[in-house]
Amino acid sequence: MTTHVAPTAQAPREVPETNKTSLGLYVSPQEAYAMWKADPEGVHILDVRTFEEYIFVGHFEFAKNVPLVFPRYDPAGPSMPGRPPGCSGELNPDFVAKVKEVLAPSDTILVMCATGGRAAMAVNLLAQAGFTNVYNIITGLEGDRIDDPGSVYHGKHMRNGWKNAALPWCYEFHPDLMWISPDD
Amino acid sequence: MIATHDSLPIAEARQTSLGLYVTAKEAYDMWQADPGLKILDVRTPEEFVFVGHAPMATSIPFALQTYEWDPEKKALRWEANPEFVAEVKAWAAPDETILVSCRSGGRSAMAINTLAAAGFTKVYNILDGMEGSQVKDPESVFDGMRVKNGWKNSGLPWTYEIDPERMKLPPRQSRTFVAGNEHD
Repeated sequence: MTTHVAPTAQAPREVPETNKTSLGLYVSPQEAYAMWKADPEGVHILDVRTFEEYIFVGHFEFAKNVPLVFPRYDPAGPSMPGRPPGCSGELNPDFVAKVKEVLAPSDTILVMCATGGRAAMAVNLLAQAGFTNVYNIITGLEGDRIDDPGSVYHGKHMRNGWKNAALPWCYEFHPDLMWISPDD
Repeated sequence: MIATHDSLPIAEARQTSLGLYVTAKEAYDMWQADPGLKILDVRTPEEFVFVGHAPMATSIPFALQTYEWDPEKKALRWEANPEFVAEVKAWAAPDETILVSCRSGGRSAMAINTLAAAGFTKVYNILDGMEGSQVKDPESVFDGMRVKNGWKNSGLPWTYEIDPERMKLPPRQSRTFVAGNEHD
């Protein structure tokens, strides 16, 4: 399946520098869902969060899950800022290879993560590998955090994003849409 | 209205050998009356970080998520944290009061039974956990979502921010990779 489906007319939007991609293709969660609904066979939604986020935070039922980064705990290993000693993330070296197993370079692919940062990294890696129609779903599944110290929801991922746009999501998953083990 | 534990039916999976139960709201009230009281979160590190947690809780995972699909149970297999009891013993004395939380009261019951067998005596199960039960109402836009009860739905403080001192990571490196390298 190698259809290219373009999004409907886009409103001007601001994409943070860290979430920009070399392809320059962006959609909002609402636009992404509308594109998928119009052509569920030709439009692919790719969720690049960790397995644990996909399962525990929830996901769009028909999103394919190929993690870009794996969580890592190794007391003797590196730490990420603000994390306990040995807690870090590790780039999935098989990310592009795994995506290539299930999707073609000319496919229309809408990529999401939690808020749009990892998705941008994933889009850039896929672009380098020859993919051309890969969109970043800006604000991601969870959305940005509310920045209002007076709000009881200050700091929570409730500003925008897929879940806050009342788009469908769930905890139940189809194992055939997930890269559960490397020898699948 | 948040029920007290007396009015909640206690499902078998949430019952413990110690028979000590509280709701999330009751647990928070107990902690407010005595901020020295220990609150233990036994979910995976990923749930603690990505779903969010009570700021005063300490994370010692009872079980970890594997990425192996169990075709009979139609779920991903869990794996016990071999250091669980040792980590709790290093953190609390057997006669201390500990309030234990997981997602919705099941894993915490298993954790409490394990601690009781190791000599702990005052360990309460927070029945509705951090996320609470799923709404069972097909007509509701929240059907299947965890917005029924639980710490996060009870107006109690929670956060994504990590205090590294409050996370006792299990001795484990990233899983998929190790397995993947074996197959390469």
